[in-house]
Amino acid sequence: MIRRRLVIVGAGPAGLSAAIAAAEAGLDPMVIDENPRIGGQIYRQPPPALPPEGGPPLSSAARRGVDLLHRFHQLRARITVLTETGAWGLFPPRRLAVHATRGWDTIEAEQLILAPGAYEYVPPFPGWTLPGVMTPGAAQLMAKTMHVRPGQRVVVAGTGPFLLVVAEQLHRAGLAVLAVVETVRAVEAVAALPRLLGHLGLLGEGLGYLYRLRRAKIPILRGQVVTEARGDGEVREVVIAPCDRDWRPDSSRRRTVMADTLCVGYGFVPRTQLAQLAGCRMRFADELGGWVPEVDEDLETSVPGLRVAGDGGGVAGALVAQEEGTLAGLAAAHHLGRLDAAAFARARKPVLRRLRRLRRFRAGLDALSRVRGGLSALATAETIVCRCEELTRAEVETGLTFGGTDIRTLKVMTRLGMGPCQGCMCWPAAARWIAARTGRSSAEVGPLSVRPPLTPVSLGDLAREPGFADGPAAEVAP
Amino acid sequence: MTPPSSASRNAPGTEGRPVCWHFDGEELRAVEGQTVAAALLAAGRRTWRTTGRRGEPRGLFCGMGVCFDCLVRIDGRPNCRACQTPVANGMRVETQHGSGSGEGPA
Amino acid sequence: MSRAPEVIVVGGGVIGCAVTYELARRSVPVLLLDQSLPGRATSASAGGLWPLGEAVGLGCGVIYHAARTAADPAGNGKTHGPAPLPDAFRDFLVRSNALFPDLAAELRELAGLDVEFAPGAGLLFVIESEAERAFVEDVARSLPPALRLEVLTAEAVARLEPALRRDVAGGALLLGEYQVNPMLLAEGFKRAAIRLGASFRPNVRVTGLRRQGNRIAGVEAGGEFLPCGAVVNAAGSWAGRLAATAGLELPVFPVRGQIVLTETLPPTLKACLSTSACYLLQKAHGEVLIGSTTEHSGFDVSVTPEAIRSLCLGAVRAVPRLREVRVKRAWAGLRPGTPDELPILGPVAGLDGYFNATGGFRTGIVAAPLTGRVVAQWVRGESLCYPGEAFLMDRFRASVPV
Repeated sequence: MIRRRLVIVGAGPAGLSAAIAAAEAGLDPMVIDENPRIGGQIYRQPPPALPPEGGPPLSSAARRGVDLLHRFHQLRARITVLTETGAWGLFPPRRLAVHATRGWDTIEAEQLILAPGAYEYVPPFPGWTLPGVMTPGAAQLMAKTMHVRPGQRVVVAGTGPFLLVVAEQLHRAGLAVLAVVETVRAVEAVAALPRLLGHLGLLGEGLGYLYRLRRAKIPILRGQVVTEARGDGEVREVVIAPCDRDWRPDSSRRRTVMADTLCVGYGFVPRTQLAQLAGCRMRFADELGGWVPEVDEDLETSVPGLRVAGDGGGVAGALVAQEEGTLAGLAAAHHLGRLDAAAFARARKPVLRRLRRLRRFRAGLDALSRVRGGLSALATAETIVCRCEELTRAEVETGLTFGGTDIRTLKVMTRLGMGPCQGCMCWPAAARWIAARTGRSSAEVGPLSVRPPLTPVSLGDLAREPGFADGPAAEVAP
Repeated sequence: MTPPSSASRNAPGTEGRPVCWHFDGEELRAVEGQTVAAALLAAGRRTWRTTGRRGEPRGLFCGMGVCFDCLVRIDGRPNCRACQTPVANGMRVETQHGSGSGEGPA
Repeated sequence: MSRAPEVIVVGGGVIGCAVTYELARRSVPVLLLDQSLPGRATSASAGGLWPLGEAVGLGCGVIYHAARTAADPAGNGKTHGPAPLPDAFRDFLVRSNALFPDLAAELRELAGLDVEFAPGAGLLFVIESEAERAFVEDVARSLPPALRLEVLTAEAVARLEPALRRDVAGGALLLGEYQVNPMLLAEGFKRAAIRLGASFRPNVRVTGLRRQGNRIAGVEAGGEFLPCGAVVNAAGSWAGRLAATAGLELPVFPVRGQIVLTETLPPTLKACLSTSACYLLQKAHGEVLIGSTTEHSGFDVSVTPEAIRSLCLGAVRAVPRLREVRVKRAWAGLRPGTPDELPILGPVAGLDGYFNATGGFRTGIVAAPLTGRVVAQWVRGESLCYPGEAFLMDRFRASVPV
């Protein structure tokens, strides 16, 4: 077993910022991440053998990533980094179980910061399991990091500014981007402008994407929703219909677009499984993407010494993640005696100020992109709602009719959420729909229970003695 | 407007180190650093799995390892996430049918 | 229901549901109350129906015994296996087990539900040493003629279970030991009961029994008092706490068991395997379930990395090809344990309107059909189809020092 004063799970903007703040305060944090390189999803670093293309100057977001990584590397001597290391369990009080190719081990932390990030929300709709349908993030990864076009004729659909980013990147990668299909109507976006003016930098970035897409003659269809993907074995056409304020489609006015790729995403869902395993009290916050751990002002959860920072505690984007990571790192340093009360108060003041301003901006954005009930109307009786177990909506409905107000019973009867993804893909949408159908709030329906291991580990690996034979190995390539 | 990049779908660029691997017995080329999912897409394949219950095709979905859709057999071992596994020289990748333990299509 | 029910059953696990079903079959107005609490045994159970195996100590008890023996190697003449349970209980379990084939069909018809009753290849206890073989042969000799276990050679075992490692000393095969899906079984009992007129209220936590003199008049639940003619305490690991609210000392306590489940595999194991390190059974969906631990850790339902490792180690030693197979889930459940490992059923002397239906420990699932029936008969004042005196709570009072 490894014992550390401060362990940080996740090396994205929040995790890196926490490590930086902690190291600057004199701590020696350990950072673990399941990916081969640090940076998380948002500041993803390409594999060393696939360097990024030379080309247009970096976007502001990419520059922020470069700056953050640079600051991190300046403190590298104080920070232990374990990459390709996944946290598969979290046992009381703060004992992480981690797994890498060279074995598994447990890490006992005095202060633990979870910064696991988020994943994309895709409610089920007819044809969403067809090859060629993927999240915008998956397409971005393929095009930008792997230098592979995920298709040829693509529709980018859903809601949120990320669609614009991905549409532009796919266009630069040589795909024919046929349209961006955004559920929020123009009139609403305009009405939200005053709140978005609170952060001109971010607003400017967003407008920049709009401008470049217009120049490339890529139509942005607002107040429209993708209702179906069709094809024999893979996507051949995409059906789009206008939607109302609740994002409910009017299929009588649908039309078909010949596309072979559909990137669809309606915002993000926080990855809360580790927090749930630790027994953190959770609350439902629709504007933050769903279930999130309850935290105090210094991001401590109901489990003492356990903090959550970044999108994993509620989706609010990379800038908020960096500030929260910094705050969590400072708080941990304070609790471990590296920062006295006065120094902590001084350091945290500007962070809290920046967070307040950012959150005002985000509130404007999130109010627009918050998931609306009309999406529940997309799935028909025959649509697969649980991808892992291949369950249709009709089958889950049947499970509900049997006094299935008990979610555990529903799981057992239908096998909903019993596949390897542990409900990540199906539950956020299913919970909303079950809440509406049974007249309860999403808060009452609750998150799906989570069990270890969170990542696939073989019996042979777990049968071994815990302990990395060569000690915790540092990352090879920065 | 900047011209489209040279990222190609069916023929990876020559800028990376080539990797020789196999998919369903066919010898293919990828670029070092790509994941199996990327290498499959580069080879024009978007389906590399049929599901256990309904025998339906699946491929890439979330791209970040949380959906468990992109499962494929690698060197005889089923249930490997293609998007999380870097492609390697000599790797034998096969379509996963059902639970992937060699009992044929569902 | 508009009038007060005649019977309220507290606890919607497999026992509570079985009792409710049997009462409903007798047209008794019955209300089942359930609050699904973390660790409830029915949900966590492996679902192995091993009446003989558990009774003679070749089931999951052998793992606990092995662990205890390993911790205390100076056995000093102890027997090589866990203490067998009384014959009366063994026979109860065997009788209950025999009810399953008909019950499965009955529930399929009444409840429209398949409880995944799998009469497969039985329970195979893997003999790994001469000491174990001696124990098995003792057990075989002590059984009445109607109950048999077959002692197999290593070759025979290899033919029966090709996935098992080859270097074993032999095996003891108990045919007639099957498996079921315990949650579907409970759900099946419940739905069939509802179909026959029973009422069910989920998400209701019964916080107390209301005692009026020498009578239980009803239950307190959600701030409400629910009167009834009789209460059946099927609250599992929480039964002791419930009974205490009426001044009863019901010695039921939680005993944690951890389980590891693999990803879905093609057919790999025919029988349920029992070794001194773990048991393994392949479920209907193809996942292999590996268990278990026996821990006195109160109501803590967390899993531990140590136990997960220990179960994985036992599993890959027994079935080498599991090495490359991935763990899908690990969880823990709370078995309702009692001081003598026997259930606590039936009335309590001097108290009216109250019946125990708890203490199922390792055998709650297989005991459920007959337990449901016997408890329902007690409630109705009918003569019992099986002598239940050995399970009365009063057996503990006698041993309490004054």
